[in-house]
Amino acid sequence: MGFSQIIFSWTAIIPAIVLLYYFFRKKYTDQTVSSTLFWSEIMQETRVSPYLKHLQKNALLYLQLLALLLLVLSLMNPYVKKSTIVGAQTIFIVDTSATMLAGKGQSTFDTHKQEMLTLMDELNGRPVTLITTGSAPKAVLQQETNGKDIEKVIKDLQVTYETAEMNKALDVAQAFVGDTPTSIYVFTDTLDKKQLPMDKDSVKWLVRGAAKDLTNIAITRFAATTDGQATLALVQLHNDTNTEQKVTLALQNAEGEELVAERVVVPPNEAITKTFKDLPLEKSITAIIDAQDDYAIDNQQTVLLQTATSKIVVDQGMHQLIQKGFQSVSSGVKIVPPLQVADNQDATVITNQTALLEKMDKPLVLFGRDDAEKVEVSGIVSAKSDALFAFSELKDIYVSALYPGFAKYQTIASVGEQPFIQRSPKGDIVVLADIADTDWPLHPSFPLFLWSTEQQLSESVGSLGIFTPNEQRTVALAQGDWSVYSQEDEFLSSVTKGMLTAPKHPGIYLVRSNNEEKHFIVQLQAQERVIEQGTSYTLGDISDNGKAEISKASFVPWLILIILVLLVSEWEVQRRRGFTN
Amino acid sequence: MTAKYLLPEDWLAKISRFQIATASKLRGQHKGSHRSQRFGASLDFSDFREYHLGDDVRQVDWNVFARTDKYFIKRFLDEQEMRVHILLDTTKSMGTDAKWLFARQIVASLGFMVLGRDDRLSFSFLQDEAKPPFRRKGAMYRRAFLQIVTDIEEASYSNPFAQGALKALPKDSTVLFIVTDGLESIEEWEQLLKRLPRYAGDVRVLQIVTQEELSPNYSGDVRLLDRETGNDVNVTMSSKVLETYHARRLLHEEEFDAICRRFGIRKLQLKVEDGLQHATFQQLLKAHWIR
Repeated sequence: MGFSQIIFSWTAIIPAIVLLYYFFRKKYTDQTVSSTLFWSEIMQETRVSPYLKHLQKNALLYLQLLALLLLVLSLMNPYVKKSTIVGAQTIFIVDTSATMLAGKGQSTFDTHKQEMLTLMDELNGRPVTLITTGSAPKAVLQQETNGKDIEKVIKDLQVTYETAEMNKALDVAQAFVGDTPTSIYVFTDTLDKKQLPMDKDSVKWLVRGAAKDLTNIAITRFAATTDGQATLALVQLHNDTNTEQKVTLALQNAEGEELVAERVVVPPNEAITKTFKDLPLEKSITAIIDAQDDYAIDNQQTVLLQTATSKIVVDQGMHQLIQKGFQSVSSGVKIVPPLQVADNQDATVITNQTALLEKMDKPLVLFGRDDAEKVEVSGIVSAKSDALFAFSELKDIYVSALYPGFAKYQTIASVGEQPFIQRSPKGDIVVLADIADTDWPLHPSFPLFLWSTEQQLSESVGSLGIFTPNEQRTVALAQGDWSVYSQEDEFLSSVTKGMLTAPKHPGIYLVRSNNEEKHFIVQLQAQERVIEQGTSYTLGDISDNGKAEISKASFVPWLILIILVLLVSEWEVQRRRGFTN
Repeated sequence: MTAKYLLPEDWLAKISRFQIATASKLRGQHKGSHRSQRFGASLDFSDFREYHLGDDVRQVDWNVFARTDKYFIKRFLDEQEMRVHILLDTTKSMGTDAKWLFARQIVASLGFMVLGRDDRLSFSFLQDEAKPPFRRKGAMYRRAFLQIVTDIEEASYSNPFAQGALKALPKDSTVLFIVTDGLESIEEWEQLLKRLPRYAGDVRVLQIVTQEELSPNYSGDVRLLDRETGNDVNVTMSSKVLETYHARRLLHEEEFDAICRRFGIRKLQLKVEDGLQHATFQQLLKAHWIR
């Protein structure tokens, strides 16, 4: 609060004069009467308390003083600075990831929507750009000034369950900034200050985070495998809270029948793993925990089970360890001479013949290349987050030589800068090293990796595997019209040119053509299963030349109103006392 | 010497013609100048009555027996004295100059009438230390009584009148006059008045009021000091406040009158400003308190 007319403070002398006048006013004259019997009875009603009596006696004075003081105050023109949006334009970056659904009572996402709507009032016609996050950030509004449109878009915002790739969204926002002074509101759950690009001084960052004390227990991993007779399931639970949590972990089949249930105690801030053996054979299994936390969507996870055991064909030229390894993880493993490998079109092939990448319809596993020379490398092995490494960490592995990588393939693990393991668009897995050049087989991650590979490749026979929400991926489907249906047989989308866009909500879905049906699962990414503490802060300020607008809300109209009321009450007090005594 | 008395000589002469009128049957034991309703031994003839066994033979009228041959008893009227008590309210509220003088003049006038008619007069007022009351009979004590009333210089009793009044009352009065201003709460008056009929057959309250009390003409901010209790009330006078005062005072009067009626007590309001003459010849006479 401040005064824009502080000079008028001299008028404070006026109430002082009234006060002085009051001190010299006429006093009560003494009058002796026979009895004050009747007088005191008249005055009885006013004698509620000495303070009230005093107040009543001097009501006029106080009212006058108050009115005059308020007048003085209003002459000085008091105002409050309102926190309004600064800058010439405003950008909202809205995190639409699944974790935004967490929240006590109201989800963080809804809270942020409401805050956006209240911010609308302070826009004063500034253009608004609204960017939603995701693997492909979208500018839903671009320099929009129409209030109704903005309001509608904000109200229609929905969580897409995709991982918020905040860096991409920030880059998009930067493109809109240009040289205009901008306030950028980031509505997310948590965002590290270091992630904000601070190179422009015409940008004010306002980060609105989630609440700080959200609790969460999540099913972080769930896998199930079968040997044709019984099912083996593995569940990993993680407790994000600081207290021990007790939950009931239940496994259900596709029809919702409970297969097994167990009471589990999860220590604070730790993960535990549970395995269930000898479960009946099911098409899919869903793991559910009944945790009472602030984030419900990660309390459930589904896996598809392959009923038919898949055939695996291992090239005889492969290293003995690979042959033995696959034999140990799967029962139907055939060792085939190199020239006959191409005949096994329906099996998963493990080979080093690069030419087979083209020949085979199904994805295969390539260990080493027979068409290139290996080069010596040195460096630390690092892996990206991939389903293949869900159970095996690629750590402390020594690799001495690598084959050159395929340019168009996605690198999922590398040695230093060199690609180590790649994945082709078709789904082939390429390990660009001879096992003899590594110490990998000495690590426990090796058989787990082989198992994961086998699982992933055989899964893609009857199912399309696991998708992240809204993920777009080319899938190997036969010619025909394929459409995506939910489990309730609701049409969701169609597959165009082999490109499947996954639905955003986690769950099991069907891809169906006239005569064939395949399942796939939409699953939250691992980082969407963890809730971090929310942070809210403001960074940067727009300098004055960016015509920062200070809005002063003046009190004067309110003061005038109060003064008027006071004058009316003074009149009333005077009227009750009587003008003529 | 007479100049020092409350009442001028000519006034004394005027009022000596009057006497207290009462219908009360309660009489004293002594012979007096008031006709009793009993038959007695005065010189005034009343009537004849047939003789019955047990009657005093000395009262038989032998002249009538000679003419009628029957025994008749001749009866005479009885004359007895009247006992009058006057109680003066000497609380400080009576102490205003005009009011105090007027009250004492009324007391003196009444007493003068009583003593002049050969009745027994007792007079008491409230005082802090108990003194025997004035109690005399006969016209010769008129001056002495006048002196006593004159000598009460100021109303100095500081306790409520209604509470102390009973202590100063004799129990055998025919007529009891209470001279007061009535400025006490109705509850206290009720306590006093309901006991009074036991003390006297005919209780009369003379309420002395002043114009100032009836309609005060104060203005501005006034601190009113109670003469009796010393309490003060700050009042900012306005027509509304005065109206309320009037209403409140009238209510008090009405309640007072109602209590008096309830206990068979007669009450008369005398206004100081109207003067002694008006009070005596107009009000007391018209109310048949004196004749």
